[in-house]
Amino acid sequence: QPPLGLLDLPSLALGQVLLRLHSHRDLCNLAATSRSLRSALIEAGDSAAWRRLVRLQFLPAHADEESAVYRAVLQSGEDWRARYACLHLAYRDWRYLHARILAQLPGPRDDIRVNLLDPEGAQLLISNVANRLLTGWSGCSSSEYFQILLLALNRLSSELVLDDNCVGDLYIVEQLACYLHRLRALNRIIAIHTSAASELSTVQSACLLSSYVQVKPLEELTATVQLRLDEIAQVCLDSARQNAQLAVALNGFSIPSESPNDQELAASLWDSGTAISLARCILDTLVHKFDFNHSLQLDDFDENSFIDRVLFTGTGLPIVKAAIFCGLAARLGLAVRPVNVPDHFMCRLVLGQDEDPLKSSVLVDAANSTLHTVTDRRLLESFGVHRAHTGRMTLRRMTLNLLIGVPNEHRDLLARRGPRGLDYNELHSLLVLLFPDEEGVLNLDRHTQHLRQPSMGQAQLLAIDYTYTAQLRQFCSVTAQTSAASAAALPGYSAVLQRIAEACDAAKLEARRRTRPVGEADNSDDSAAASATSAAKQQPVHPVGAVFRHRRFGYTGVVRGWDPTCLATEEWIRTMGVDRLPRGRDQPFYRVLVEDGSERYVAEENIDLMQDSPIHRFSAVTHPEVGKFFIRRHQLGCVYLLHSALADRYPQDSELLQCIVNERLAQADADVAMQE
Amino acid sequence: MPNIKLQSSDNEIFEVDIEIAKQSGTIKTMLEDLSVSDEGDEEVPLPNVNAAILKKVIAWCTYHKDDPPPVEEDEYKERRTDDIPTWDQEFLKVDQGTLFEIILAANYLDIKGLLDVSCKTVANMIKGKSPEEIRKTFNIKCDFSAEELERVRRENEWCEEK
Repeated sequence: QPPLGLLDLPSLALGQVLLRLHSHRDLCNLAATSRSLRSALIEAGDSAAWRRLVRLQFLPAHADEESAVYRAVLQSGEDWRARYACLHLAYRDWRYLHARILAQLPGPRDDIRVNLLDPEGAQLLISNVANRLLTGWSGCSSSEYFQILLLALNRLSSELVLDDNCVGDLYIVEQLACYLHRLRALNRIIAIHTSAASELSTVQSACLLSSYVQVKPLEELTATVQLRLDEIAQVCLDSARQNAQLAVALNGFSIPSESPNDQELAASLWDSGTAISLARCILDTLVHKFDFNHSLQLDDFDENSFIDRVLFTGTGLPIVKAAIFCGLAARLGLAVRPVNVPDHFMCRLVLGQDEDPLKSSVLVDAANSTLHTVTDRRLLESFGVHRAHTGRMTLRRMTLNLLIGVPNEHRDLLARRGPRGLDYNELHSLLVLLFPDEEGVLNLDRHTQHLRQPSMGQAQLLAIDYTYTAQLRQFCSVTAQTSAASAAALPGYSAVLQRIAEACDAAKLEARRRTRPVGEADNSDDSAAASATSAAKQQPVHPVGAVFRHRRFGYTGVVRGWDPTCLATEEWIRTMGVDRLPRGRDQPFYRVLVEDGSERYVAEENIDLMQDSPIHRFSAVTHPEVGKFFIRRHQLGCVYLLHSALADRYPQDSELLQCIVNERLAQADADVAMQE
Repeated sequence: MPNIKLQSSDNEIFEVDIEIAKQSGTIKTMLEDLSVSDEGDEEVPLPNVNAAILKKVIAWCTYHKDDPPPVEEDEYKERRTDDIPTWDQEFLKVDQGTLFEIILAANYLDIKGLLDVSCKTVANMIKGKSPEEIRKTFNIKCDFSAEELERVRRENEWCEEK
């Protein structure tokens, strides 16, 4: 009898050996040796060995066969080997990145086995990274670090794990990515600010602001802007050559390949007459060939503030158009200087090296496409044409525009643009960082007044989220750490940060104090308990997390909180005509997030859960802050699952949500039965 | 200590301390459930194990008679394979035929500890080896056709590290 070989082992005994192989590569190599091993390992793909590897690598210990994670894994492939392969490929790159992130982060290298299929796992990972980042900030500042983290976050959000229903994780990812991006931009700004040597061009200033506020990578954005400027400059040059006189003057001229800095060009390459004609030609080309128009709509304020958009839309604030003109002029050999005119922004053509700008200046109004020759000395003095207007000052003016140039009624709109939109506080931080002087702080006081305004009604107050203040506060402390080195170069800098921090704390306290007596439930934990007990007689019938349609106005939204009765101010109740409702003010009122990005306060009788509409009618509520309150959207779409903090605050609502889901499922079953 | 008589497939009788024999789940069950008398002189027949292997198995059980009972393996914990005790390593330095016979016997007799170390030993012989190296180690003939080889290569493409 020949000796026993590996192939002679019965499958049970072979299985015991396979269970002790922990690498998929060993299993694969073994399968590649011979037919019988291949059939054992691949054709019988349900083998315990593969199942076990999936268990070890991709499933959290607590996941039983009923759990969503387990079911997601089951769907990833036909058998356990296929599932392992699918998951392995999906996470290989990610794990590499993750390892690199952890290697770069300060703090203990505890091996967190994070499972990305598990929403909790993903969240754990993100918060872990974020925590390390925030606490150990001073230790790491390399740009590669940001690159990796941003890349990782982008990946995480695009992986199959975080589908559109994972609103909670997506929200965190987005918040964090924004935050990182802005911190990076800030670092850059601080660097520019503290080094006297490099002066920003007007175009660069506009790019910096645009990149910072819109959360777009600066390099990419700058490249787009410079390319577009090159393109427009070429068209301007071509049109200038149509003019016989200019054609002679411009003979042999071509646009420099490197984008020139408008602040560095000391004098125009041309004589006065040519320079003025050329400037005229640029303005005309912009109007006729690139649709630059003179209209300005304030509800599109951000569209108008960002150079990368204005270059393509032709509608923009005077300062942005002036920046565009500066960029084009520099390309065409014209020396220009920005002029910060009150309520407007223009450029001055530098016609000769030793001219006296106060005697006579040619001012270019890029917003209205006009040229003015001004000889009134007092007027010129008041425009400050004799003083240098640096790129930094342009940046300040642009930031101020966004911060205080926005009419009051639009401010809430800006503040509620969500994670990627403009944030009032962040703009403010930017301003203070750029100009750590009294004015910055003054403006901050104006901002905190916004929170403190005694005339403001409860309804308005509801709309203001204290987290903005909290963010600013955090921002200050982190920035204070980051810029410890530059603090020495900027006297008074730390003091300013300190003052902002104090103002934030005060504003927060004040806001809390004001809301407590009327039982505002959402931002104060202890009053939630109070409203919950008084709710005994008026238990709301709709739970937090329910998707509804407004009976009268037809919009869709999701409930994010409720009060047992209407807790708005008398003024609001009067204005909205609450007492004319059939059930009046003594019915539960719901705080809701609406699909158009607004937040509203709705009476119970107007909430329609659409129980009779088919389930496919439910679309996602695209309010930017949905992820702040909910973990994920239920696959049926009719409910959102609550974050644990919210679930604690509304203890019975999760159960009610489950009822809604069950009803829906029963209904779906009934429908199927009907059809059969 | 009372003894028990074990009969190998080739009819050799081994007299073993009953506590040592009870490390085998199979023998333990036989003694308890099938009311095989542990006092009597009857031999317990083990038709799947020959004398040479049974001798090895008894030697292993004798050495490990005072071991704590094996802990239930947690399916979700990675099993280490670098923790084979030195004595066992020496004990398992046998030809492959014997090693596989021991696995079969340990599996049949349900001796968890022995099954574990013997399977680990085989697993360690597989780990980190290329298909060709594995074939060589276990004297496996590559019976794939060229077509099948190509298919196997494609099947395993996903685990190539980039």
